[in-house]
Parts: sequence; structure tokens; C-alpha cells
Amino acid sequence: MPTRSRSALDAQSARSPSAAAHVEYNSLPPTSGPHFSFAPALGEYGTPVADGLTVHALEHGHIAVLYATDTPEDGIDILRGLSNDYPRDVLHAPYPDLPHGIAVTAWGRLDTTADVDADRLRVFIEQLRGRYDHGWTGPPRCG
Amino acid sequence: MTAPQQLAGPVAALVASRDGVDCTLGRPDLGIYVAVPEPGVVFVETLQSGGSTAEAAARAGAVAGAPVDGADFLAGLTAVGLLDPVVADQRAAAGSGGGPKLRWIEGVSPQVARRLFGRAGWTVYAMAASFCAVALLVIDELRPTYEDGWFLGDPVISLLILTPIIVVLAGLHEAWHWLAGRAVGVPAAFRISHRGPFLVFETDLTQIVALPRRDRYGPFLAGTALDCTVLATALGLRLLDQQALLDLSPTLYRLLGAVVLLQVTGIVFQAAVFLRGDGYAVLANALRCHNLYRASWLTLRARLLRVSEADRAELAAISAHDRKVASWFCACYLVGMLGVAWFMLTFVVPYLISMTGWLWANLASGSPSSAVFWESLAVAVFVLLTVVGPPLLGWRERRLRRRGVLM
Repeated sequence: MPTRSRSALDAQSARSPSAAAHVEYNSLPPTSGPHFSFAPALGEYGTPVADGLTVHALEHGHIAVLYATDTPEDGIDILRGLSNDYPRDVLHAPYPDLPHGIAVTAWGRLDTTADVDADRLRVFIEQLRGRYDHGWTGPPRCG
Repeated sequence: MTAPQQLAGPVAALVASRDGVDCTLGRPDLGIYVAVPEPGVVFVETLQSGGSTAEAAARAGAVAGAPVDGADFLAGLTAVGLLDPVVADQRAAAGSGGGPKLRWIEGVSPQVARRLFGRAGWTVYAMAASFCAVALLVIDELRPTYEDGWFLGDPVISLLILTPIIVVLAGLHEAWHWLAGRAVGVPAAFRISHRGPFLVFETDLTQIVALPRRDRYGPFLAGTALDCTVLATALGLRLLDQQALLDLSPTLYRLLGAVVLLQVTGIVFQAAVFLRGDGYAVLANALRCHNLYRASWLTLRARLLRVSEADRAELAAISAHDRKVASWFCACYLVGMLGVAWFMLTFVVPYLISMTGWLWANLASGSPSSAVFWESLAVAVFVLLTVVGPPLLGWRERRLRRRGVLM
């Protein structure tokens, strides 16, 4: 599982949409860094969610499952099922900047796959949900 | 000897209730209620049925087992204001400045109201409350978090959509109190008015003291019963969606999460017996207290802090029974206050901090030519009024009461 460990950037610098427009994260999608002051409710979103929101959800220990807009409907159904299995942990939404496939993020962790691989996503969620909540909550359970 | 003619109106306006050894005489139009011994109620009832003062005194004396001085008793009633002239406009007398009665809802007959509060109705409410308790205790995924309030990607639009929902749910809560009062025959009033900029729903259930205590629980619990029913519906729909037995739209699913958060918050505050909500009314009724709230607060202050002479005098003036209950209830009061503080820190404070951060950032960095700037400004004013307004209005009302302008 490829991962990119990140240190938190200045969390105050992107608290508004106008400030967020100038933020450059060092991964796509971002896994930490500046974010808005409120975190979104979890669950399925039919439209893209701003990075500033998703990153705040990650900071609370949640998982973001983001899919490219060319993801087939049956793949989205699988993601929907995952979201239902983890309603307190997962936010899933389309991510237009992703050229293809699926990206799943936790705070400081990123995994990408070309297709929807439910087993792999489930392992990611199980290992990393609640791992971070404004600070690491326990010893690492994966790389 | 007959009762003076000028007292005919005020005597007719008196309501009397018996509940075991507790008897009350009241003037709902003036908001005055006084506990009296049973012979006092017999005296008034005799006058109301057309008897003379002498006949009323004789019947009251028979109940008391000792002679009753009718003129002296009437003088006592006059002294406490129970025989003041009848005021045509009750709202003027109450000094509430409240809004007009809602004629369409006031027209609901007791028979119709009783359908909502019969055996079947209360069974539904009890099942809803049980389902809520079990679901929230057992199913972790159904418990709300403060994040559920932001069910859309934009917190301002989330708040704009939630605000009318909050108003409707608050109105339904009060209307259910009123309907339950109607069902047991209490001539309650339901009004929509405002205090400063705040929309206020008022249910006047003061005449409930005319009922035996056991009959008062329904009207006291009705608002929370409806809250539980709404909460059970929202939880049930979310649960069915989670179990793939229902296919809600994602936005509706998250909106229901926000409704769960609102209802749980509301029920917690209503159940908090130390906050003078519905829970307090139920408890004070069960413990046969009249002023447990003040008695508990003053007792707690006397034990933990220094109290003024005025506070000491106020506590001494409260009935011995209320003071006796308050001597142990003040500990529950303290624990409850700590519980509410935890709830505020877990749900309300994070919400306010996040919302304030968002608004401040938009106002500080946004351009006045952008929509988000003006949305944020409008919500900032709204949030400020919501947080600062009630304490300010409370302070103003206390000042007006001290000056005798407000009853």
C-alpha cells in the first residue's frame, strides 16, 4: 500500500474558500494540511466535496473514498455499500481532479487503485479509521 | 349575608383544584395561584354555586371541623389579588406582550385532541421513546455528532435550511403540549409571538393546576413524546438506509442526521430536570413541589457559596416541603449541571467554534463583492443574536420585573 506521510501545514491558512483557492497540497487528493474550520457530515456525496472539508474530516480520523468521474455505476454502488458499512467513518464523493480510478485517504495516508477493489478499501478503512484525531490515537497499524 | 356584588365576577373567575391534601385557588387571567386548605376550596365553590358568604362559611366550617370567618377569608383572598377585577384582555394582564392566539389551532376540539393522547397514542409515543433509547445505546452508527449539523458542503446553507426546520420542530413541540392540555380539558392557549428578534412559541398551561396531579403528566410529557416520535422516525429511516432496505438520497440521509442531532439536543435539554424544562415539571409534580427550582438553586448556593440576606429570606419563604426535597435534590442539580456542561462542550461549543472560525475567515478574507461574504455576515449576525440575545433579553426582563413594569 503506497503511503505518503505528511506533516500538518498551517491549518489556519485556508479557513475560507477564497484562501483555499491558493493552497497547494502535496498530494492528490490531499491527506493533511490547511482546511476549513468545520468538518462535513459523513456519508455519500453526489457532488465533489472541497479539499478544505475533506482534510478536516481526515483530521477527525475519518476516511475519504474519492472516485474519478468516469467510475462506472456498479463501482459507485460498491463504494456506497462500503459507506453504509462504515457510516461513522467514511465520506465518499466524486473527485474530478482524479484522472482515473479510486483514491482513498486517511490523515497522512493515501492509496490509489485503478478499479474499485472492495477488499483492499476495506483493509484501508479498518486499519486507519480513528487512527488520528487531532493527533495520533495509537501505535501504527500499517506502514 | 351574601358576597358583595362587585366580587361576583372575580369569584366566578376563580379556579379551584383538589389533589389529596393539596388544594389550590387560582386566577388564570392574572396568573395568580395560591395553595389553600380544603375548606377554602369548599368556601369558594359554594359562592360559585350561588350560595351566600354565610352558607359558604358554614360548609367550609363543616369540613374544617371549626368555625370559619367568611369575611376574613374573603379579605385574605383580596389581599393576595385573587379577587382583583376581571381583566378582559388576558395578555395585557399577563404583561407578556405576546402575539395573537392561533384561532385555527385553538379551534381543535378536545375530542379530536384526545385521539392523539389516548391509550393508542401513548403506546406509540412509548414505543418511539423505547426505540430511540435502544437504537442510540446499541447502534453506535446512529449516534449523532456535532458534524451532522453540516450536512451540506456549505455551513451557511446548512444553517439556512436547518433554521426553519428548528422553528417547525419547536412549534410542534409546544403545540403538542397544548393539544395534550386540550385533551384533558385544560383551557390552554397557544401563541406565536416574539421576544426581541426571536420567534417564540408559547403554550399557556397555567390552568393545569386545576387538575389532579396524576392528570398533569400527559400535558407535561406531550412535547417530548412528539420529539421522540420525530427522532424515532429519523433514526428508523437512517437505519433502514444503512441496512440497504431503503434507498434515501444522500442529502436526505445526511439531513436526517442533522434532525437526529437537533432532536437529541432538544430532548436532553427538556429532560434536564435542573433546567426548568419539561423534565423539571414532571419531577416537581411527582414530588408535589411548587418551587423546587429556586429552592434547589438557593440551597446549592448556600452550601457552596456565600448567599445574600435576600437569598436567605427567599429560601426561608419557600415551603418547608420544597426545602426538604431541595436538601437532597440540589446534589442531583449539581450533577445535572455538570452533565449539561459536558454536552455543551461536546456538541455546542465545537459547533460554535467551527462556525465562528468559518465566518471570521470569510469576513476577513472575502471580498464584499462576493456572495459568501454577505452570507457570512448575515449568519454572523444571526449567530450573535442567538448566543447573546437570550441572556440580554433575560437581563432586560429581570430589570423590568424589579421595576414592576413586567409581571
